[in-house]
Amino acid sequence: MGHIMTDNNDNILGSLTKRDFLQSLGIMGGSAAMLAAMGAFDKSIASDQKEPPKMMSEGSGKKIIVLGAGLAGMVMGIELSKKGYDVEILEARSFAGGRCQSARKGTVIHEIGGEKQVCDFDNNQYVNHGPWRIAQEHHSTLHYCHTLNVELQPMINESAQTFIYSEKAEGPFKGKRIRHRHADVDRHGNIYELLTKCASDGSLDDKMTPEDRDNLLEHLRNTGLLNRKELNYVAGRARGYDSYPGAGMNFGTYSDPYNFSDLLKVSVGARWDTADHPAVMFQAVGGMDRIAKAMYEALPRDMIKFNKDVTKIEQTDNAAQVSYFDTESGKEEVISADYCVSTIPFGVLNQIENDFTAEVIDAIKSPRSAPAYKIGLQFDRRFWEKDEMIYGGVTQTDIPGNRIISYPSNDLHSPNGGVLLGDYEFGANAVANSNLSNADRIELALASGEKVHPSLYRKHFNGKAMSMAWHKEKYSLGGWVGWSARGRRNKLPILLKGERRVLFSGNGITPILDGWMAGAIEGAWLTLADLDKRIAQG
Amino acid sequence: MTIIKTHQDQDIKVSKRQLLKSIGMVGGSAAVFTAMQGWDLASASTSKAPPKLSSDGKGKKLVILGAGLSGMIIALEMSKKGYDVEILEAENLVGGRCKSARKGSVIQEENGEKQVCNFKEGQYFNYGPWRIPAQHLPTLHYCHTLGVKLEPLINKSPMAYYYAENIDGALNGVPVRQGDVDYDREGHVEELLAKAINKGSLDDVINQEDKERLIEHLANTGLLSRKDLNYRPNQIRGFSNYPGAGMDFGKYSDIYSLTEIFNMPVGRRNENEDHPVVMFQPVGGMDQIAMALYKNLPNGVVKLNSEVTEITHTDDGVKIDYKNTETGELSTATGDYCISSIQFPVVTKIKNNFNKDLLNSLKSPAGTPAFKQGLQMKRRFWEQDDMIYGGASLTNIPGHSLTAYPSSDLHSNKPGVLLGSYIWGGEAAKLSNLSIKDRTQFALNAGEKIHPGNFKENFNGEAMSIAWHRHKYHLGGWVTWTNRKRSRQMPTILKGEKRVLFTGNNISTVHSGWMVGAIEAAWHTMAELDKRVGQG
Repeated sequence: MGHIMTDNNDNILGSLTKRDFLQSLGIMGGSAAMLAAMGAFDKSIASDQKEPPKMMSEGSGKKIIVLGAGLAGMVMGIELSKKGYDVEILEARSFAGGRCQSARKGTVIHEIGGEKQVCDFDNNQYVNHGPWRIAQEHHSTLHYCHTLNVELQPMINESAQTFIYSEKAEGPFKGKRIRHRHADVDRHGNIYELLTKCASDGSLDDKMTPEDRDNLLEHLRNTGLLNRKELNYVAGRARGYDSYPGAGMNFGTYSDPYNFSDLLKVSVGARWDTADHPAVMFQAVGGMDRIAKAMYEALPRDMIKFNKDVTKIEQTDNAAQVSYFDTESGKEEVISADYCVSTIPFGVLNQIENDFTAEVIDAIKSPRSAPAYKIGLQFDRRFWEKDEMIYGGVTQTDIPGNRIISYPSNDLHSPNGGVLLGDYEFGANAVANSNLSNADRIELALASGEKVHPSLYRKHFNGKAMSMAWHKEKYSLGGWVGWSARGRRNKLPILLKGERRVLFSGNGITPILDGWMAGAIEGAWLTLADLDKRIAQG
Repeated sequence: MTIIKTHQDQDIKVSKRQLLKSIGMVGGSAAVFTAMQGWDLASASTSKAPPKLSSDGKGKKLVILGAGLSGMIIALEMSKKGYDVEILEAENLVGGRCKSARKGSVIQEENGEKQVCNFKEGQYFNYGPWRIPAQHLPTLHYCHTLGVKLEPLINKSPMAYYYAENIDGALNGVPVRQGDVDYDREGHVEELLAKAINKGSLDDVINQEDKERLIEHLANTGLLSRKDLNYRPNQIRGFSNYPGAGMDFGKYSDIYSLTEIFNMPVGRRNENEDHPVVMFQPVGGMDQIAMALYKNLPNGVVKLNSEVTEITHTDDGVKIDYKNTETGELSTATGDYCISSIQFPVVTKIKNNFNKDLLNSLKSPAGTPAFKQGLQMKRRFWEQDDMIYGGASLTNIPGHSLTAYPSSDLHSNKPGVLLGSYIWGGEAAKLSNLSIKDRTQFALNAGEKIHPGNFKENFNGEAMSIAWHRHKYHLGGWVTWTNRKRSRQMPTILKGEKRVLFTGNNISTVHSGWMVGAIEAAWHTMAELDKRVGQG
């Protein structure tokens, strides 16, 4: 049991056990077989559903209280009000969007026990310190972008021009940055060459027919990485030039492949990105919070009550009752409705007084809030574009506490500098980074960045930065919740059943998509369908 | 006739002569190139900005032939140094091949039917150059300095398709997602290698330590199960049933078998460095670059509709005769120097007094047949129904090669113009012999195979095509050199005549099909002229 200390020992996270971490990682891992086995459960709803569920119930005269004006809460508000429901959304913050935020000039981030940060980025630039990318397969997110006219632009998630940087590797690549393209092409070229050797020494004969083997060789020969005659890996156009060709008699020179034995010592960047992280994704033009803003503007006026911190949730057989206080006036109020839908993250919800059954309380505690940390740094020059030909994409490192640097896809080619995502961490590294002072967080990011971009990174940093540790943000307490495979099998159904008059929504009930905006939206859609059924049945 | 593979994995039947020339363009031997490095006319291509000119252009008249990118760049830079420049352009529009077809654009091939573009407002088709990689610093230089706004051009999408017909097995005639095939290829390769290594297959090739590291690498890619190193359905290949809320955890897609996957001939080749996944295009059409150059030229520099009829040079000047293609009026321009950016297959047809060696050299590269077809679709079905945003579907349909999806107006409700076909070499020559109607039909038939039920259904009847080799003032998409001819003849061309120099992407080495080839050539020639003028 490892006790993780926060900077002021406030024990926000309590103690994280090994199991907690495994659960947090469940977000990224997940066994296909187990997942597939669960597909038949009758609460499931097709996820490639492109639109909100059709609702049968008549909302007129029915009041619904929604807790939380994040994406899930606002989607509930939009769809329920279309059916005539009287909806009231209680939001603890002074603005809508939940974690769908962008930091730009004037934005305030104030973590629990932390220093207040006020954003001072120049040139209308921003960092998406919450969600930052939309995959093409996230129909639900795209549905609202399209219908609410949120302009999208490509978010370049992967670029072969970015770097791999390892300081743990033994050998000549220790502490030496290498382009992703060079590592990728060299890895493939060598693998292809080695496989041709296996194919010719008979060691594949028990795996494939002679015809398959011939086709395999034909395939490898055609990849363009091997010399067609010798079938050995050679410098070529896929790896590209060292000195670029030009006019006249300047034919350029191909770059030499790295020594494979040395390259094998570098493990950074070996893993392929998952299908929902393709090379090109999307982002809202002007900041991801444009999606939240568009939803807010689509809601009837005054539906959201801001600065309302919920203190108690109670129910009778026919009604839900919610107590809250106004964080500005301190005034306490109680409202009631036919139903209450809570989109509050489970890590926060379990601290609010309630009259839920013991089973539900236990289930709410089952998923773990995932520590997540991001830092944005502003630079006065887009040196990564101008000096290094990097447009978007991510540099990967094994520097402890600085896994990645992501280059912005907005304002590409601009002369006005840009905001880099200097780091994005989750799990233990996110916790460790979040315990640093703001100055030390910046220093960690700069020191790491300087290793990848020597003499450019510090030089062009303009002193403006914003960081966010979601697990220390009072109304989120985590980037998302991570379900274990067992937890989601045993406890999630209890939460989906809900209480008599309280239903649970948000991306906490969307175990595979839980770190995504699509998770929040599909969570809302599932709850909408359920609420509709309950009300239709009386 | 023989068959070559281009980087699109396309079989192209060409004559042996064409083949040799094409290889210079497609393949290119590093060894030969390297051997030439010491040649004193070589200029660094990694230069980001035009060469510094030291000569004073005052009182010097320069006649430039062709208002394509190279011609306009020479005029732009030399006029800054005080040169008096005049550009003769045969067409009624600047840009050379840097053009976009939009409402009202006319494409007229030699002896061909006149095509007038009728795309919806705001829609266009880059029928010349269409993509800029990050490495093309000279192209970016002009975009940045002239305020041409760029947007990403998505060059590859895992959601686009590979389509192969006349192959064995289950994938015959079935559009398959590129991501699925790419990952399956890698996954099977990784599994085969991991297992062969574990059986001791490469013991004499790699040492024990490397072997262990290699296995570790293969286990780390995420394609293989760590336990048994089997390739199996996985999160990288992704879901066939997407996960949702509640207990819907989704289902990973099934993998294609080893037999099926290595039977698939399309999409095998790794893209070249200069064709990365994300490239760039100007917002509003590639011709925005040409327009920006044109706007930055001194007024009246370009004479449109001026077809050069004769080039005469003497020891101290040039005389260019030309004809106004609208009025038929004949005129003569004189100057101290002439720079021709006209494509070599075109300039060699113009009456001249070049020396024999030079003329012979100018005739040695071939104009490359290149064909493009644009089709306007009512609805962006590839985005809305197929989750394809940009990228290109590749096929082995003879004469087709690819259908590329537009990167402009992504996510919009507007119609969209697809690049319905782009092909070069022998197949392009063949395709261009079809009537305009049959070209469209050909592209529709190919598209319908990739997007059954959607492609023809959504076509709104508006199409534009170009066969560059049939365009009178181009006679090819670019010129193709053989390595041998290039090493022998290029120096003669670079030397030029006393008062006439030759430029354009004709004189570019590996960039001959790119805008950057035109720009680098212009820079190269500018530096040469500067030197000549400086030396008197």
